[in-house]
Amino acid sequence: MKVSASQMFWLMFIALTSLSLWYVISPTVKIADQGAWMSAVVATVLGLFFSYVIQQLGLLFPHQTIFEYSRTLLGNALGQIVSIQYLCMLCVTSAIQLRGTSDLIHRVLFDKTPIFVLVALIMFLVVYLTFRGGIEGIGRFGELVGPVILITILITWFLDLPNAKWHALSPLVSDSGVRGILQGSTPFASAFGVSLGFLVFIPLMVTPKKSIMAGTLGLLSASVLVIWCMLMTIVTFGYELSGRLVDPYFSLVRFVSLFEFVRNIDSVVVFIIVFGAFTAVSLYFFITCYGVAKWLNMKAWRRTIWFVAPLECIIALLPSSDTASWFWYPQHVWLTYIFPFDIICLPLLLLCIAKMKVWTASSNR
Amino acid sequence: MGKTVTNNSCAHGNITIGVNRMKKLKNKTIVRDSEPIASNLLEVESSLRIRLCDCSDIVFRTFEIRRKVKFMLVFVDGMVDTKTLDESLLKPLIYYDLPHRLDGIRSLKDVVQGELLPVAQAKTVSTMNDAIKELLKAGVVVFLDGERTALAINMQGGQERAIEESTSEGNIRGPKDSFTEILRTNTTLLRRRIRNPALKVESKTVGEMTNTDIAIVYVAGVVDESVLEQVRQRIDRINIDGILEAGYIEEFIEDSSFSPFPQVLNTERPDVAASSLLEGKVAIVIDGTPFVLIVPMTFWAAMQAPDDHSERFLYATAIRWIRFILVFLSLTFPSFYVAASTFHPEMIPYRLMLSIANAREVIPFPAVIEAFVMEFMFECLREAGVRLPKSVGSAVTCVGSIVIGQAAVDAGIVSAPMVIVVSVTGIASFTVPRYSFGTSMRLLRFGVLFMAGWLGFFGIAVCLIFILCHLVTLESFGIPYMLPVAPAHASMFKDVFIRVPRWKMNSRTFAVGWTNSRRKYSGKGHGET
Repeated sequence: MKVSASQMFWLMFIALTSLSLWYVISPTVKIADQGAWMSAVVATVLGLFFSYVIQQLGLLFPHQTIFEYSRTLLGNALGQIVSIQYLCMLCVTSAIQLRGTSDLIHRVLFDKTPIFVLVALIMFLVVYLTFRGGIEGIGRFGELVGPVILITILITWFLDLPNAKWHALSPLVSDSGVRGILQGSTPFASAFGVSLGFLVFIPLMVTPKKSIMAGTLGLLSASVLVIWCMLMTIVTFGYELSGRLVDPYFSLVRFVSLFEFVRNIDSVVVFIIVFGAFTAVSLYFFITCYGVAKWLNMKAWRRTIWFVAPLECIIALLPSSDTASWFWYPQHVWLTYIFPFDIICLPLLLLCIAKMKVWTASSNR
Repeated sequence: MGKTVTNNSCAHGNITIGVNRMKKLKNKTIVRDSEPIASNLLEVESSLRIRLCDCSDIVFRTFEIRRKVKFMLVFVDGMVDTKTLDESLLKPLIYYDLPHRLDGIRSLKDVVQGELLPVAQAKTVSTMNDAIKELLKAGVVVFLDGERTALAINMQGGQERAIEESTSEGNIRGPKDSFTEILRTNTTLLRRRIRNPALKVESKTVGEMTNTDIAIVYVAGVVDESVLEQVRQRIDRINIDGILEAGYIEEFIEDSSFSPFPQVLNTERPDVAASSLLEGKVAIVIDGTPFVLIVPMTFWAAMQAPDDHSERFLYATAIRWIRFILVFLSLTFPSFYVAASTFHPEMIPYRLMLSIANAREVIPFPAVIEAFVMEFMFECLREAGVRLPKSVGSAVTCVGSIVIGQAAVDAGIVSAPMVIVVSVTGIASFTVPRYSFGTSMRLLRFGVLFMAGWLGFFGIAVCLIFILCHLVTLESFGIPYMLPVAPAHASMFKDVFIRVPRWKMNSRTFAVGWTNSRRKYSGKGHGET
């Protein structure tokens, strides 16, 4: 059960794209106006740095997950607390992601279907893939779906070219100023939290160094894609409207037309994006299950599926409307608590402690 | 000089077969499994007649030479080549007598060594059981008075089907021959294509009753040893009374029986089998069926037609893409139509939507029911077309095309667009080069259709995700089913989405043969591998 480098590339690519295409474009444009692209570039640099810290931390313990080495670094009690809070965070985040996917389908395709049907169906598929294939199965799924998502998005750009009003981009540096640009970068930078997966993945890689390079490359290409999508929405709708729409990219797709014949293809794009979202949900579900098993010292990690899956379904069904998964959680929980604490500080702190330990050990000798 | 007796009834007894007698016979065969051949010919004969009682097709023939040496010939009528039997066994023995330098035959070995019998394959057996086994394998067994061994001569003959053109896998360019029911003919067809000692043919016998011969064929040095070992083990594990078709073996050795996708490829074509062998796969040839099994099978192998490798590569690639599209359509086209016309009409262009709505106006059923009925009708016609005698076949096609075509539309029961959709889907499902793979698509289509009728595009997505999840986790003899796309192996992409020119294929396009992956040495010239 191992992941290859190319699978890592596609997994990271899909995880970042399918998250950011929905959550990131609108808030970034809202804060930074035309400077959104600069915000996104800054966010990419920051995000890759956080990802680098997490990778370095993981590489120090190539045969362990964070649930094991946090105890080595912080002592048993503190390590347990760190593990538990990471597990809770992963569990809730993947549940909310599941809910977010269902909400998207609910909004774009079906407003009359009860939400629990969608949640249960997606969860069934996630459990099927995770149970049968484990991380290798998810990796192979990503390899199949990744190129399809990439090609679909490229086609939508191409189809949208006639709608582009390039003057909407000027002035390239907007009035929002440095403060605005930095502030605008936070939503996208926080999306790089997908690289938290490296805290668990590294022991599961065939060639850790190569896979990490591939994963980083995947993040980078995804962010290029997202930045370009951001620009396309701005040139199509202008920054005012792009900041206000709930999911501007799908509105853009709804806008395209080919020979006055192919129209309203947003359903098709949602159709494809569902594949990506499913991959991302499966990935986080796997990380949660595998993490719980590692934390409990269980050899047969698949057994944890049977209590993590119902738990996540319940969490996903708790919010009464889609405001929780689309606004409240990303902006209030993820951005205010998880992003600064779990993605930036904790890995940095753990890396410092690990480096200190290595340093003292070598100086003692 | 001799007498021929056809074994019409048991030598020692009544015509009615009592339960007790059967028990006795059974006991006899079981207890005395390794009974040696008696030196007295009469004893041998009576023992054989008991064992082979009520077998009217077995011929016993005894005769003497120079009133010195007593022979007995036993064979199954119809299974041996009687012409050869006469020419090379009976004639020399009876007419030409013994060669002058041999006064008498001291042992059967002498008979063979003295070149008395001009036959190619002969071996000595020393137990009754072996003798009967050889006899039933289309052999002639010669017993000699005063000798404790018998001579089994392979004289397979009788009626068999000639090598004909394949009926299940057609092609335009390329070889036209196909496998037959005879195992030896089939292995010969392979040997003629791969004339190299590296081509190995291992034989096994499976089936307690049928004793069916099976050959495991592979190219040594190219084959994946782990796959080969698994094939041997899985075949050895088979415990069944009879093997009548390749499907029996397939169900025993496949990895997951509940998958709708075939994990063992079957072919009627020697060229397909030979090219698979060169890619490092293993072929299983079974006596009594023209279908040869090839393992491991991948998803992409199902998309390759024999023509792909004989046509020019540009055309072959284009056709392969058409095939990919059609396979996808055969799985999802009715579902997309139902989903788009029921749940997402805004997607369909305005004018097209108008004509669809116009056609659907008088139809009493919802689109999904209509699709189900039509698909069901189509499957009925297809099944009837296969089963019915040829003379009635045309009537079915005629009535069928009227029923699911014009009349149904005119009567306002089915809409014309639905007829088009169902026919396109039907045609698309027959473009899959592997019939067994096409059937899995037809089966899954109904599931997708149901989900599309319930949840529209999302339902189709759920089904496709489910099928993809299944495919990426499926394995055939330890080889991932979606190889080389997931997991990706860039070096093997030369024969998946495109078929590169042959001089560019310098490594084997399938990864099983890692041991010897080089296919061609430098330049455009040929090289020994």
